[in-house]
Amino acid sequence: MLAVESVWLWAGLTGYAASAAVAWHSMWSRHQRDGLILILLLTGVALLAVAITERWLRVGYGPFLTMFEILLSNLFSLGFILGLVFWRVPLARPALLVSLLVLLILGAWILFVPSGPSYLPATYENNWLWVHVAMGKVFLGTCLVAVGLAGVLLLRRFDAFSVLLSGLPDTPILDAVAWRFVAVAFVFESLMVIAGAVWAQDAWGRYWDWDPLETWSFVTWLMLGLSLHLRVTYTLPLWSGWLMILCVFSLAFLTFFGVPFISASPHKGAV
Amino acid sequence: MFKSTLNALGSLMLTLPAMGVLVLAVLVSYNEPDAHIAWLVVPLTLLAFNLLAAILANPRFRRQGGLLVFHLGLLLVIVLVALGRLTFLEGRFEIAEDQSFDPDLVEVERRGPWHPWTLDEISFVQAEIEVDYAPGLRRGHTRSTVRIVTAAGMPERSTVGDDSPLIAGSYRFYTTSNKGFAVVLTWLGGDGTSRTGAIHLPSYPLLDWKQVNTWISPEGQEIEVDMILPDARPEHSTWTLNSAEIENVALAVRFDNQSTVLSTGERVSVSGGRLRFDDVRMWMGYRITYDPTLPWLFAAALVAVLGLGWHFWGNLWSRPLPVEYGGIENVARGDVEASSIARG
Repeated sequence: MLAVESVWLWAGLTGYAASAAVAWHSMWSRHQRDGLILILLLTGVALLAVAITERWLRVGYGPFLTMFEILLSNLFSLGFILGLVFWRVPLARPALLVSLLVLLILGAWILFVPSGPSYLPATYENNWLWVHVAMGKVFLGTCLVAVGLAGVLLLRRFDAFSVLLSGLPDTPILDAVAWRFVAVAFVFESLMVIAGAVWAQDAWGRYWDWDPLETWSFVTWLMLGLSLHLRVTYTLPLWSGWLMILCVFSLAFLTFFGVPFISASPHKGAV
Repeated sequence: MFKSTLNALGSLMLTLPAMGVLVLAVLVSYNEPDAHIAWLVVPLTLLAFNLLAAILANPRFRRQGGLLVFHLGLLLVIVLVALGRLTFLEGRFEIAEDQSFDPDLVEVERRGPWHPWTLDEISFVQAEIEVDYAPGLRRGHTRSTVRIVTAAGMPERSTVGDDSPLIAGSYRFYTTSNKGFAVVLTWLGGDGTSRTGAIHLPSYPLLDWKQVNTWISPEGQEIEVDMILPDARPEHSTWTLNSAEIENVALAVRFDNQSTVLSTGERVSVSGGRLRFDDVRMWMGYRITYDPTLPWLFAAALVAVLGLGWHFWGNLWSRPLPVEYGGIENVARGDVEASSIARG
């Protein structure tokens, strides 16, 4: 039997899919439908918020533990950040063309993940967990905006997309905007790591122990810093910077959705 | 000569390979956990010198306040982590209810070469222990009460948990999943001497089927004590483990192929004296850590990130995009029409 939140989940994903479809169609037809794109996206966000609330009330804890919960909460938070950026930073709007596709991949993934509840360890009932998670979500969200812009710019290099995407702002503008979001992502990843370390000190009596999640989040942080330094130091071809952004996002993606579920680290909730 | 060396050492061209080496070092040490320090110290030291040289040699770097604060913060974090590793201590100990903390109980697992042993200055008495369990024997909150005397000489009770340590000096005492029952016995020697002590039984409820331990009497006789619990623990409901769990408990005492079951207050004659079963209490296994740099580390990391935010805001977000980029005034206030997804 489907859990109650599954209905809201499907509805939310439909909102995202519709938003992506309208975005690509408006690109193709050259008709501006930014208002509709935003409404559909935010409707999806609201429906996913209902799904999270339903589940939270049912299982008695927030979406922190299982793969289903992590995917669900990230579908919500990433959609929310994309919507906020779409509304407030118009030059970043083209990011949606690719970023929403990433969200739909997460959306397809969650449909095949067991949705059964887990048990919240006592060490997760810590205020720093909230700070850690919130900073992590802003980090991944801003990184997703950057990766959306980098993706659009890379697509535009292919003949098949160059005409379709020719109506977007010039490449140097989108490139500069993408790197601004990388910079924001770097700040929030730093905050995520700090808050996580404070939480780890409280939860397990050490602020850092090189567990798999800590190691990979540090590697992601280093790669972000390295990318920013490379950008400042060398005059590299723009496309190499876009590939670096994709690389950093891939690392972050693996850290968020891969490492916690293939290791037996304390982050998985082992006590 | 000195200036050119400083310039070379502080070059961003050196920063990049050093960061690359650090990434590799992290990945290598990920697979070799025992080699962490050795693998990380070299690139971190190189980066620290690179940064120091850059600050000294590059006036532009010094003029960028936010960037300078961020990098100085990072430098401070590295120094504090190193200092923390030199002075840290990690250990564990077990203590029974009504027992006073004794530094000799602490089994040191790891310690830095500069650790100042000040555990002797810490005193507390273990009071009640409670551990919540959810159905399926899933451990919830631990509430371990300790009695301490404040600096002002006032008695006070403090509750310690897995994530709420007792902080004394720079030592932090955390409860662990390791806890159980302790049998309090009094040895009544034939010569009139008496001695009371507690024998810790294996962790409960993890090893509830094996609540047995042995003790060597002053006469050298091996005595096995086996606690017989009256009721099975509830596996399918919420419950709290505490001393009340162990009312009406019986203790099987075995030695020299003899076995006697005692209730509290009863005695049994053994070689060279008698053994009295006084009581059953709980014991708690604590993890103890020492790192005086923690608050400074937190402050340094936070200041570094604030510096980073300041730098990015001042040099990136609040600055207009270059004219050759299309003359857009400001990303945050961009022309909606011009930047729509479909600019037909």
